[in-house]
Amino acid sequence: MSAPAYEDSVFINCPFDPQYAELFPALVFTVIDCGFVARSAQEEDDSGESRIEKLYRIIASCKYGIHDLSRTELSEFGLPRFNMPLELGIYLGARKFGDAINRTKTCLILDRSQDRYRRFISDLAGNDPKAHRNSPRRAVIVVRNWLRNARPQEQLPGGEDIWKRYRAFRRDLPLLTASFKLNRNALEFLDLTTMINEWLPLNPPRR
Amino acid sequence: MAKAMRRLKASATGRLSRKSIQGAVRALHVFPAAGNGGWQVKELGTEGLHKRFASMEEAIAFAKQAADKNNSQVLIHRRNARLKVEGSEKPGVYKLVYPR
Repeated sequence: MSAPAYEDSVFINCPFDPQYAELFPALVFTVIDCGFVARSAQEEDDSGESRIEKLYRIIASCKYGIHDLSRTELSEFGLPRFNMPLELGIYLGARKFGDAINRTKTCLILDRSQDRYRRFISDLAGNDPKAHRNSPRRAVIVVRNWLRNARPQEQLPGGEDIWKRYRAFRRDLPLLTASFKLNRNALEFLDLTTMINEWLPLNPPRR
Repeated sequence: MAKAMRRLKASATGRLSRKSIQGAVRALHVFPAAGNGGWQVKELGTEGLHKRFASMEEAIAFAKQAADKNNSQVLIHRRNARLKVEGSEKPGVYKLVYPR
């Protein structure tokens, strides 16, 4: 299978904990429904490659990046969870210091509220992070509108239409996962994207 | 039913084949209705067929008839069961059997 094109690839940098299980599939669904390819650090499981090397490789191959900082908070050990800001930093670094292709990168920074980032990563002032307020519906609309600006010449489905079909997909997901004895909240990333890619043609957006 | 039993299962990496996912997405799903009993037949998606029946047998008979028309699979879900795929008499139609 050939690698997805750089111009079509959207890197989704977000936590993979159970508390985020409602938001992550909504982001993936929106990216695919808008005609892009969702990419994630979870897409491959090669023990021969370090996690950071894998991140470098995936980030280098994506023109677009969605970075959700909403779970940057103290862990049970009293330390901040900093993987997402680190990956955002790598992404911004690639855009600033990379080759001509990587300098075309564009990204969307998400948090749960509009100004929370000022308290822990104030250098992002000017990058205009968007708030999803921990709402999958809000996240769908924010991501859709951002992708719309990324490709202004193309007609994308509306945010509410994507949300409506995403809810229908979520209703169908238990039947799909039960068909394979899988836990719907612990789906492999590639299984999830394949399910979405196969389900969407049966449920095209209203044009 | 002497045909070989097959299982829908993940690959060695834990990933499913596109073909098996495609089959499940396009299948007619037969499953118990919530609440006071009955069985449902459902095509996935917003526009697909969705009907309710009093018994599992009625639901399966209807689903098989509908599946014959579009050469899709019938997947029968039963709670707390181990899933298997059994080849049916008609090509293209499969029945999921849950051993008790």
